[in-house]
Amino acid sequence: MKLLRYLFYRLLQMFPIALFIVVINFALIHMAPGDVSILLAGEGADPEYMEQVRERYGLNLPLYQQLGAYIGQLLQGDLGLSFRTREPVIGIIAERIPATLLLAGTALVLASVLGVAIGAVMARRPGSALDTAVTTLSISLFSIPVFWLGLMLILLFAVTLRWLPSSGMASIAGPREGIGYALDVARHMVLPVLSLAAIWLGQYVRLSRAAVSETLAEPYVTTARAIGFPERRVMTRFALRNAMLPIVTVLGLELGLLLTGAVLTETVFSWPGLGRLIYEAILSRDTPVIMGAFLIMSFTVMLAALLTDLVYAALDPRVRL
Amino acid sequence: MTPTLTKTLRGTLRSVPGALSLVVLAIITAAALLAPVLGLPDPAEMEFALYQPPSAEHWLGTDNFGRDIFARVVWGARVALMVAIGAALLSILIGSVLGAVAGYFGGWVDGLLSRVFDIFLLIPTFFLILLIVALFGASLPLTIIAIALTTWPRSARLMRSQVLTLKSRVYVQAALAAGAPHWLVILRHVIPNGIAPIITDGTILMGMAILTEAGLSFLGLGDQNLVSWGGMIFEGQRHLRLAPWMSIAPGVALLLLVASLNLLGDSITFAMNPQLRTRGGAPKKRPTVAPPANEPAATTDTPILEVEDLRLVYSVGARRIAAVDGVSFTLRRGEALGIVGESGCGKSSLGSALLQTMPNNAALTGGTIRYDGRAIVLDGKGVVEKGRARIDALRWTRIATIFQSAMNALNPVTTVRRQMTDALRLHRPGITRAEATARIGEVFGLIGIPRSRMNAYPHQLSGGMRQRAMIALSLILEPELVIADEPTTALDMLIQDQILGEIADLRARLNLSLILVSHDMGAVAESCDVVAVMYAGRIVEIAPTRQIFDNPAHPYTRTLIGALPSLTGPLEELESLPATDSAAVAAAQGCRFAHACPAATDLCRAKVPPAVPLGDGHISECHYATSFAAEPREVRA
Amino acid sequence: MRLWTSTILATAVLAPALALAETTLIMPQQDEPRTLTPAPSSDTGGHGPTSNIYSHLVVMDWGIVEGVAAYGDLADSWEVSEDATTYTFHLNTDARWHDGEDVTSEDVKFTYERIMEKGYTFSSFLRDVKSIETPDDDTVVITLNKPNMAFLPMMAQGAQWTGKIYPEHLWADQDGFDTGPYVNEPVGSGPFKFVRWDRGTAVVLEANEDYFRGPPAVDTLIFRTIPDANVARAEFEAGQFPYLPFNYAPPLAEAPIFEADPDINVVYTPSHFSRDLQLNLNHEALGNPKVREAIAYAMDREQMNRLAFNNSWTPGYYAGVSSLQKWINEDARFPEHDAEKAEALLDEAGFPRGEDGWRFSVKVTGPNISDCSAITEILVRQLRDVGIEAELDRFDQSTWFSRIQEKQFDISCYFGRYGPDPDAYREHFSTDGARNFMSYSDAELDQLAAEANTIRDEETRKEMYGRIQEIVVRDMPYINVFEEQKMSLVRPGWTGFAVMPGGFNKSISWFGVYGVSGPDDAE
Repeated sequence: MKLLRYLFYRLLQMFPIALFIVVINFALIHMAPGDVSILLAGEGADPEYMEQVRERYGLNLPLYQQLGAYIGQLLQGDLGLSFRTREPVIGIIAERIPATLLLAGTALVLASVLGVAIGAVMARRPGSALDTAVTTLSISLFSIPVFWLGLMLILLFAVTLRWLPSSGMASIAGPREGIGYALDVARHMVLPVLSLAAIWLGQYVRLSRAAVSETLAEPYVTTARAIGFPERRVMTRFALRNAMLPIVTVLGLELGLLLTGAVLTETVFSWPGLGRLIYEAILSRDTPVIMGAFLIMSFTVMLAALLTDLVYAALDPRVRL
Repeated sequence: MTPTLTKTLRGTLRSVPGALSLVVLAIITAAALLAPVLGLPDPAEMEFALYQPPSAEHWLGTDNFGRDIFARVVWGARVALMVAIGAALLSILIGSVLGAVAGYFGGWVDGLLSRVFDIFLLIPTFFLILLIVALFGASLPLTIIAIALTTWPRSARLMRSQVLTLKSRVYVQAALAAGAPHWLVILRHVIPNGIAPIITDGTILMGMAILTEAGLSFLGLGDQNLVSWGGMIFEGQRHLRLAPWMSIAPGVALLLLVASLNLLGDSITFAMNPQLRTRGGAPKKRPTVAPPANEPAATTDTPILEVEDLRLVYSVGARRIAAVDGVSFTLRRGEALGIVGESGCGKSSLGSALLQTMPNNAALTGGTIRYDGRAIVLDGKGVVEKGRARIDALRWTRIATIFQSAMNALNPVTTVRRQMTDALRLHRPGITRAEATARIGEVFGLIGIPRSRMNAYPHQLSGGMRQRAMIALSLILEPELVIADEPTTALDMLIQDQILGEIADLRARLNLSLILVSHDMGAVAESCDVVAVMYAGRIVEIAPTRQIFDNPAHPYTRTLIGALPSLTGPLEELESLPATDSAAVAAAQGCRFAHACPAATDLCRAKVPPAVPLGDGHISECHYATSFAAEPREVRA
Repeated sequence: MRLWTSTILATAVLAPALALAETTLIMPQQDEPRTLTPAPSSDTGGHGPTSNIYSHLVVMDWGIVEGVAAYGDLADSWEVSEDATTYTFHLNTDARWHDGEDVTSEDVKFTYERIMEKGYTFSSFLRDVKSIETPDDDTVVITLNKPNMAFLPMMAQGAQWTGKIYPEHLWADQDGFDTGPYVNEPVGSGPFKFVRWDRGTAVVLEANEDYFRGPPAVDTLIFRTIPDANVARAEFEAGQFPYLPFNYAPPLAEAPIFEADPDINVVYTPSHFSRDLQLNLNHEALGNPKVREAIAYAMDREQMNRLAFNNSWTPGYYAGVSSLQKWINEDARFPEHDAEKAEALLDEAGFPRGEDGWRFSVKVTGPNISDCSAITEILVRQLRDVGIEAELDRFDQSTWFSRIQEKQFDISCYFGRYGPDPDAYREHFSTDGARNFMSYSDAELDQLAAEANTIRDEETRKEMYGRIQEIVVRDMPYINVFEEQKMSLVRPGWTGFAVMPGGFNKSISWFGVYGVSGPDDAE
């Protein structure tokens, strides 16, 4: 019951923030130079037709009325129609989400699991030459521009060695279902996942190295050793378990950052995901798609933050929701 | 500020990555500043053959328009640095001011601003920047402003927390009392003092800004009239197959610059807090030795613990600190030994040496520890028998400890019951769940914890209860020897007394041997048979409790007893103890206590005092031990 | 499954057994169709499938079929009355709808009248239509309000996108062409029949064995949506389809790589789109004709061609593109590059170099398409070389377009069709022309342009348009730079794509694949 109330309260909190984001985006888009109706009417349309188009899309109304109409429509769960393709925005976005989830999710799992493991191992020998080398290397990793790393991987593995495809999510004439399809997608995923994961890996190594070495210095670890627990158990049950707390927090909070990496990677690898959709929508001034995607993304980040807090609470009995 | 600054700088330069990154930064900055006078070709002039690979003439080749890529990379450094400095400065400026205002005024101002900081955390800022730049036209100043506008909450949060700690400071209050207006106080006193961590964070911010600009340029939204590395990669992408060098060089430049900034930030952080780099870690491998050939079998008279000339040295950087410097004592079965001394005297290090749980920067350099007549440590090396350290066989089943501050000594994320069950299972693999629960209940009963609290997490227990749980954990496997390291320090006086009483009681009932480490003579007096007084790494006096209180034969002991706090006496007297720097003292000739001893003579300063036996196991390391012993203690009023 | 290679393999192995192998053709296209009904609005994803399902009355592309005003699809032939107001079309008598019904003149009348009634895009080409009559099943008579020589070529050109003919017997009960069962399950009279539409992936068509020109060589035609150029290129290289259309084309600089590849034929096609510069005459310096002339001298088309287009584009020295070939006045020619002359003209015009070396400053804009980006980037360098402080100021396409419409620019890269009928000069250069972004005005040109459109005599018309070109080149409100060349890639053995020589005639329209045949189709 208490949890439900907490959830309700947290979900309720999201709405003013979402409203804030909608208003900011709306203001930005409408303050900017350029006329969306030209995009809608098509190049070279006569002024009469443009006027018709403005009317049809409500672009002739005063801004506050347009905003009001948009918010009213949002409240009914309708994100409107894309200016460019005239399809429902919600469908366009929904279509792109799985691709981004697949790409970013795989990279995230890979980077976090590997990163936490490497970081934990490094935390066992803090200050050693290996630790310094790995720290320096991981800092260098997350200093690499992700799009550039992607290009270099394409250059090496797709252009020069011809081992892997350089773009897209599946082969055009490949199998459309079953294990064959999965393998085909997997082949296409290797390079984009690798470039995203490499950069995130650096972050998680650093994060985990700091968190684990912090917990290894905690008295309860000394207690565990005095009790005689084998070192591996000390590491997992005591050090890692407690180090997960800061790691989980950062993981959850960085979801937005994650999408940033995704847009650039999706561009390099022509991955049909959400990030690329937003980029294309921004370039083509597809206002409903931009607004809808920002909204969905912000909700995702907010939900991730909520989920993080829930996971944190589950991991740390000291936290009460 | 200045000495800290030089220290930080020196620390940064001493680390290899720190020094390296400063060198790289210096080179890139110099290249950017000197670009116009380096005699390079015009980076925009389309005058050379197209798509030339790197050669002696064009070090990094030429691009699709026949422009010299090396010249473009050098000129691109200007844009990168402009973005880095411009965006970071602007972001820090906005963030510091708003953060300072929020922290300084608190209340609804803080509430509102903190809410705004939070919202910014939830907006995918890169997309916002992308939107702004795409809508309003790509130009460098706009990019810088957009980056600053979306990253300032980072500095604001830092500044806010700085201000929260600063605003109660005396000089801030003094300035306010003197009638200075709020804005002046913020500008003059608050921001300058809180800016240090923000500047460190600035290097990371600069790296972020550079990568953001590069990302924008790569998406075709860079400044069209300037050469930027991201923009070069954007162009290079289209010619990746034909002229890969077009994308390689600017990417490497970006990587070098951003990595240098991040490494620099990292090195500065470590230089400011050196312990961050080396704390924690797994126990390192230590030298071992085989058991001695002819160990006499233990008899009932064999002491449970014998320590001979034990030496423990800490390495801090290049310094060596002898925390335990030749300590010897004997503990008989069922006896309680108190080890007393002020903090830093080496008593806790001694405790960790007995359990072989020393931190990694500590090493035993000599001495022997025998448990029940069998050597655990021989000449400072751990004794290993049949591939297993002898101490490991004794852990918790024979020797257990009670750590200070049970809040941190118990695992915060598992229940007390679980922790005890784990310990039981570890050492008694066959034990059933019911048996374990029964045993835990038994120990809880012994200590006086209600069984209902078994499933509690450590944080759910009161301070006293928690310490009792720690004691219960130490007793769960029925050890013979318990080493209690400041078991009551964090508790209030009343609970301290209770717990000490319970320990004494348990010892009697369970026939435990006990080593009680404490800074508190009073605590030791109540529960121990023998008291050892430690000063600067040595036991300067050891004697049966009565004896040491009645006839203290060392001036340091006398100081301690004189400072003995009673429930009525003033607590502050503890602070009147002369501060000791173990290292300095150990390095000096003569008696370690001479520098602070009211009765020190030239002899004391010149010659190390011998251990003077005074009978009945009373030993004092003082040139004048006999005369002190003859002179009963003055009792303070 | 590699469809087209598998047919090759199948043929190689089974050739003796099977005389005719099934030919499947995958056509990549960037956009998913919005609908499969062509009339209501222009739909880049729909043009491919609908152009092969539906037929047109007449079609035309900008000059690929040289010297004719229009090319008959359903219309076998037509006559134009003396006063150029009455057009009589004779339909092909073999044409059948995919459901077997006869295609009649009533279908044409029905389609055009509904388009006009609903105000669909194609109605702008029918603006001057007074009446449409059907004296018999195979004859359509269109009467105009006033003479308009541009009517036929403009209508024929627009028909490719949104002017296809619908079957009246299926659509009569529907309101408009955007509702009902046939919106996404089209029944046409073209060379291919609709099979299915896998949303998000592909539209599948099959050969119409009863097509009035005879069945196509391709048996199964799949329009596959591939939004990304990199993906399309990779798939083409992997052999998934035999044709990579120019809108996916890699940079021209890579053309030598493809030309060296025996498994790829590189096809260049003039697109009949210009790349030119629009000069805003309201700009303080650009208002001066000498300055505009100086810019024409300062510009070096050869350098641009070498740097940006691998020398494969055609420099544009005349005031028109090659689809207007027979109207071009070769005496009206833009000057060639001469930087010294440019500097002299600028000095003369009263814009000497200042102390900082600059005469005046201009912003060069253009849409964010790769060739305009390259042209503007190089142009900026060339202008700076003669002392004009030029800076880039590019925008995304919609922002750019609204800015030039609002005349917020100095110099802009522009792409224009200027055809297929020279009446386009009126739109671009007459004082109230819809595409006169330059604020150009010349009384003589205004009068000539208005008059020339109504004159049936070709010689007289040609003279008048020749004079218009002289005026334009004299005043230079615009400077032609290039005629665009498209680069497409085709696998050897495949012929008949619209971009290939003769391909357009065979395939009827820009998107048609009727004339396409693969390596294993018997000639």
